[in-house]
Amino acid sequence: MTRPPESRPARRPGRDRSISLVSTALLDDLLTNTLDPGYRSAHDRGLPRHWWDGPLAAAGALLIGLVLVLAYQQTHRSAPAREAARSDLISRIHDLQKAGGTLDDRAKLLGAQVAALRDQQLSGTDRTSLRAAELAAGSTAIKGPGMQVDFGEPSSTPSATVGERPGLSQQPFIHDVDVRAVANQLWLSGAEAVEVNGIRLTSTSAIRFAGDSVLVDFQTISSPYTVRAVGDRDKMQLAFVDSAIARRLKTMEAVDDISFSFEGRSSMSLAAAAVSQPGYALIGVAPSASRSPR
Amino acid sequence: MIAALALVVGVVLGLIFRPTVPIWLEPYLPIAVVAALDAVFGGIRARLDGIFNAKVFVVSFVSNVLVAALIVFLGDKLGVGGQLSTAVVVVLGIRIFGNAAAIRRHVFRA
Repeated sequence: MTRPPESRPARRPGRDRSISLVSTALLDDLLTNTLDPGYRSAHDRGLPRHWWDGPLAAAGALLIGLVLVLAYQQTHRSAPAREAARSDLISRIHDLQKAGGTLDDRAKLLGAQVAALRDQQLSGTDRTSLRAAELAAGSTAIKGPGMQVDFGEPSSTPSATVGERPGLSQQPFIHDVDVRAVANQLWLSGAEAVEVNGIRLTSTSAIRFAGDSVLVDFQTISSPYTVRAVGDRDKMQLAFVDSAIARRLKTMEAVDDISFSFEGRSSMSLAAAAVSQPGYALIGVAPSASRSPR
Repeated sequence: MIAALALVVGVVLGLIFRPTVPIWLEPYLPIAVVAALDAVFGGIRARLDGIFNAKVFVVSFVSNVLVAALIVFLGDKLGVGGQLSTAVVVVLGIRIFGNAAAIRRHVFRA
């Protein structure tokens, strides 16, 4: 390795004529003349020494030390504040989720009380027709034979957490479209009631996404996903095996190493959905009595 | 020697008094740090070369900080602040490395 001479005079223009390109000369100058040219020219001019040389250098060094320690403190002072804000936000999210869960439980309890009181007032036939309507709307817990589809992200990918902050994993393989396709396929195969990760689907349910997480009726669910459907289990299984989404999940199982399985169940119970009472919709005129619009 | 002591005194003063940096100065702090390191290594190398000059040392440090801050300030106004910060850091970083190599040759004769 060749090195430039130790004390090399400042490069004057016109030297190194072999280097014709200005940019190359500039880079060459940058790499070889690392010392501030001021030192060399001051030395060459032979400036006289002053009494304030020592204090001046000391003052400069003091300033530099201050700048360095200032930057260090600035970097390390703001870091704990950020961390505190982050953990505060996380704890607030958990608190609100807990409060939401408590309210949900209370709503279900009160709903059950209302249903019990209403049952006492209703006659036998009214009760039966109400039960049928509730079953169709999904507002009552049910049980029956059916099938269950389980699928989830690969349990551990070696490169998932390397060099990343905890809590940030790589892009998920399974998206809302896959969960939605499974649910729709089960409806198509004759399911009478469908539940995704314990959340019962109704006629107004939506399976969507926010960022990388899947939302079912605005509640976040995460891998592994379990879709359960009550219905004719033989018919549902036959139709599901042959469906596009089953083939897609099968392929993803082979390629991306996701988990995927489904099986028929002789009996399973599905939770009730929290069905909101319609606020604007009223019962319309029965079709037989309606007049055709002009 | 006095300069080295003053550097340590500066660090200790900063640790004791813990001055706060105004918000508007914060973007220029990384640039100032790189310029400061460049001045330190340049000064040590000049001292080893026997051509150290206190005036050049202080003036080059202050002017480097000011010019670098001005470049970044203009870049921020024109929307290329990040790129210009990178340019300043690269140029001063190359100088730091070159001076560190020269110091190493002086000290270890290798």
